[in-house]
Amino acid sequence: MAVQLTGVQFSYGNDSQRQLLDIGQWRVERGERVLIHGPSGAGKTTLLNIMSGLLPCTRGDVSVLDQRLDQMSAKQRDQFRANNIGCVFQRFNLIPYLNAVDNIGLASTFSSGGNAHRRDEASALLDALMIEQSDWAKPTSNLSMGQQQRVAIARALINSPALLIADEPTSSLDSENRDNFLALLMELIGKRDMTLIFVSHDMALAEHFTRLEALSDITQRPW
Amino acid sequence: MFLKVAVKSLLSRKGSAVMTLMAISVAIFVLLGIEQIRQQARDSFASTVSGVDLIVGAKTGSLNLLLYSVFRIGSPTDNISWQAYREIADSDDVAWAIPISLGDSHEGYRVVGTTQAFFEHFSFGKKRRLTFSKGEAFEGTFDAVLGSEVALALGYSVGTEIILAHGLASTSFTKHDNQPFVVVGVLAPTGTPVDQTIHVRLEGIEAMHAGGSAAPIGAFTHASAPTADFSEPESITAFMLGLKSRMSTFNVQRQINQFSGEPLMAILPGVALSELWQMMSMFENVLRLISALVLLAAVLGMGAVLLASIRERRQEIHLLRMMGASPFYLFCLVEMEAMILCLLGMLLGGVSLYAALFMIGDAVFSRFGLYLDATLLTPEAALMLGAVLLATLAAAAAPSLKMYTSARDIS
Repeated sequence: MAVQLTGVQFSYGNDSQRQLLDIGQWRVERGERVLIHGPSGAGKTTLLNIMSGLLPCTRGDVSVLDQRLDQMSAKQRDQFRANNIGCVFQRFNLIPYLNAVDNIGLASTFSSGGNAHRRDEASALLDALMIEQSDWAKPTSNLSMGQQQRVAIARALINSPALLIADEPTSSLDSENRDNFLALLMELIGKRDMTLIFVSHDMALAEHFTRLEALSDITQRPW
Repeated sequence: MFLKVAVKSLLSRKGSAVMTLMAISVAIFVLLGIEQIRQQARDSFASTVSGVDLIVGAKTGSLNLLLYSVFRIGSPTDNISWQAYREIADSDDVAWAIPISLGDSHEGYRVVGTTQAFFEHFSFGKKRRLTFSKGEAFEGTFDAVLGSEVALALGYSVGTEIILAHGLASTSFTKHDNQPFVVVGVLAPTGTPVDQTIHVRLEGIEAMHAGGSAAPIGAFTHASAPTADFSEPESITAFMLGLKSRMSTFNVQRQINQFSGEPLMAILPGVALSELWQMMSMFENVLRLISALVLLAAVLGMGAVLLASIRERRQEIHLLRMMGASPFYLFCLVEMEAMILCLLGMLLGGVSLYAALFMIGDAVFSRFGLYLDATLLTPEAALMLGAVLLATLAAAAAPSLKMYTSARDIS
């Protein structure tokens, strides 16, 4: 099981009357590629943050890769995230003052796995993602948006996570870059047998996924 | 990697980083510079006299004796008879003696009557002997040797004739103007009161006083001065002693203090000098306080700049957290940036101070007699730099905590 949420509730602050999320039961099997769609402000990002362990849920069991996040300390969750979960966002996926190689290298320092072959792996990933060698040492702020998003995939995959969480990663891309991005992403995920949870409002992407979920189906909101 | 991230992060904010770095460098420059000057001032003060074992004068306070015999400040309470001087100077324990006779002046500079022994035995600093920048020691009765500052201020050189006045003011009414002295030598700068003194032979002083009251004008010329008549003055003001063995210092001191002929006292110059310096510790502390405040301002400025930067780094914080960085990692990142600024500031401030000392060291020495050496990293300075590092960490705690809470309460 990649993700299993049971009785998960979340509300910001002490406003427990207005649950942003209230999930009875939701699960994702290993190897699934799930597209979650829904209107903005519905709590998609919050759901991802709970699954990545960045936000502790107010109530309920959060199990990711058969580990109970809700029973971990904040420190354990940080370590778990570094080791097992890759993330790609809509924007700001890279530290702007570091180059592509250093961004990937930095990500690898947070995982507890060995660092022996990380450099080769980073090179292989950048090659696979069609980033020109001449761009590797450039400050990432000098790269195009399409290049930045592809480097972000390399950064997210460097620690060989079992789960990849993507939050509208294609929203800032034009259609050509978007298709290119998705094709490369799916290829790499397929090779690595990874689970993908992908949030987007763009239903046109549905063909790439094994499962389509509306956020409103996952969460039953009381209002 | 951690270090690289901190460095690159600072580089990405070059403008504010450079300004902060400069503020810290200036503060370090001031801190180390003041410490250096303070220490050197103390050292050169403490070595105004060296190699002299005892200073003897009429019974008075030890600071008073030190002030008038060494610093030419204040006035002696009484004179010492020539017999008493001879008796002590000739005793077995004494290796050499320098008699000093005060009371005359020239253009506000004090005149000291002494003997050849002064140039042979008086030393200052780390056992540095007096040296001549021009001319040589006095030979004749009306020869004069000038301290460097006297020569510089009055524009005198070898061959200049000078008229001495009784008393201290340059407008003194009693001028011994029938007895001109001739400058035969100028001493190299020492950074001690010697620079501000005119040295003549004891006989010169006696002859001048005798000539001023009795002898007709022109009775003595430089060449024909009858030195024999004045070789034994009636009294002198004080004298300095060098002993054959330093072991006997306290013994000789006690003997002099109990001298039966007249009330005398002997002091150890080193002890008296450090007593005098103690009185000036207030001044030292003010200097230190000023440099500490300059530093505090710089460090607080750095804290403010870093704090302002946290607001712009929200997305960076979020990204690092998603990569698995803990809030503590981000806390350390900001502290690290502060440390880098501080260490670079120390380096920059230290190097520029070193360069400054190297360039102006000689000028300072000849002008103020302050002997600045380039050993910056004294144990005290190292301790100070350690304190600076701690102050930096403390000042950076505010932005670091802000970073920590931003990282923890991410949403």
